[in-house]
Amino acid sequence: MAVETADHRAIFVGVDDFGVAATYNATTINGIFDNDFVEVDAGGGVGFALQQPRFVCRTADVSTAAEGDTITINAVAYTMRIVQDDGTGMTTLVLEKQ
Amino acid sequence: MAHVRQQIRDQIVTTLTGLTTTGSNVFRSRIFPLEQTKLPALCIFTKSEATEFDTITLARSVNRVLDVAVEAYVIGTANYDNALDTIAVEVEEAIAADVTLNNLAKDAQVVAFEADYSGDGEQPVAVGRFTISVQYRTKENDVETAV
Repeated sequence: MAVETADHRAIFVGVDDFGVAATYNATTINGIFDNDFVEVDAGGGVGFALQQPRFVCRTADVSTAAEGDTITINAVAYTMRIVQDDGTGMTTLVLEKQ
Repeated sequence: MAHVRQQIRDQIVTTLTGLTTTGSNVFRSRIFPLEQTKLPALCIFTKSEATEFDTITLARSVNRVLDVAVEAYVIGTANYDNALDTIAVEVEEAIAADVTLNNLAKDAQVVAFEADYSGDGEQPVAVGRFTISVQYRTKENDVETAV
């Protein structure tokens, strides 16, 4: 059970702090965008040095999100590959850069 | 001169450099991860070799079978599997065009291929691993000269 309210979660992802605005289904939603470099191991002798885009937002803002949907963040289009609802009101979107 | 194994590794790098898909993105015994700007790429490793002494009189002749791993690295939102097979056409035909590897080897054969995939990064990636079995011979007291 979540201990915070929807307003608290809105503050958490607000653009005044660490949040960024994204466009999803022609509406603007806020979330925290992480795009760190990671070493991706695909079984070769060396890995791939790639970024790993993730967008954490309120579940209420992406309640109908599904694999294949498009979201635009910082003018870059991404395809949602995994929608991870954590069950407490927040969702992490695993993204693929287009 | 260098060990014939090194000469063979260098020759395979030369043979596979400039192919249509991977171009100059060919790396010998690379350790560090590949950035997106270096893809698609080939990495070449010599990881194992079996030797057999097949004459009695000193200095003995050594028959060697060297496994060379040629790994293809690709990235893309689609058709990454087809990209591996496009590279396979280029790699296999380049090796087949000179199976003696500029007269260093008795034979070179692409004997295995396997592929792996990952979606952990910003786009799907795939690795295709070719095993090239290279047979060559040296004298035990002169491993810098192929015989």
